[in-house]
Amino acid sequence: MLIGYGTKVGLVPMHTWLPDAHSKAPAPISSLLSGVLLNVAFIAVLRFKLVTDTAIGPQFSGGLLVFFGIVSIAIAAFIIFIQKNYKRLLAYHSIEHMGIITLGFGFGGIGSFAGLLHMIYHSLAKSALFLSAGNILLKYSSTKMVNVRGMHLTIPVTSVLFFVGFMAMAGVPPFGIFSLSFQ
Amino acid sequence: MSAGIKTHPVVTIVALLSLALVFAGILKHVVAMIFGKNDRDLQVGESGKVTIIPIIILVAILSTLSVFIPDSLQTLLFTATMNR
Repeated sequence: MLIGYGTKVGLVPMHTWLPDAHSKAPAPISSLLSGVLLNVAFIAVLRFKLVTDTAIGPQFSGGLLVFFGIVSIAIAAFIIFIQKNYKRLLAYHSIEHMGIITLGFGFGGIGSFAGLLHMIYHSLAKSALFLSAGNILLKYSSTKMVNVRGMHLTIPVTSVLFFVGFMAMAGVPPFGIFSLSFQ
Repeated sequence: MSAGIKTHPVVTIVALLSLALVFAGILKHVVAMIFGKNDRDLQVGESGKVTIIPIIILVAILSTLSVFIPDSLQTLLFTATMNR
């Protein structure tokens, strides 16, 4: 179940479909994929976690979630650093954030609350970022970051929203992910 | 992360280091995209209001929820995660 739904969630190593789908889909579809589909799939994982916890205790499922969560965060972090395509960057950023949410539920306790709230923040921010990416694509006709320069002059409103969205996702205060990351 | 620092200290440290790497990577890419020197001759201006308004609405909701979580939502989330 975790491998099946984990593929939809985009947990490493079942994540390979996600960057391809997100980078090729039109912006509104990418926005829905990241903001809705990943969370819905994760809710399915949580439903099965509840059943497993009742049957054999929380250690087994918690351990699995911690493992897949940390692997997703670590792998996505390195790929984000060397990424050259901004839509794929957003996709790997989604993988990283789903890893954080998975880790939160693996830890349990206040981590579960933080994970659920993180899902809400991630949905809102990532949808905004993918829609901004659509605006960037409309203006620059390229998804390569090297071809996108000087956004603050060419598309000033989008550039502000893009920057704010990224700062929110990066956990910069006063945005909610900042406080959640340390719960 | 404080939820896991006592039970999974190594995992928490690796997660924090990865988050730092992500922040550095994102800052490097986004700053270059926004403030980098543009060599291409592009028309200045947004593509249209319709492409901007949904993003503004999403960022507004995100900003509001960042500083104020309604009691009803908080209760809902606490209830949902009470036994997990």
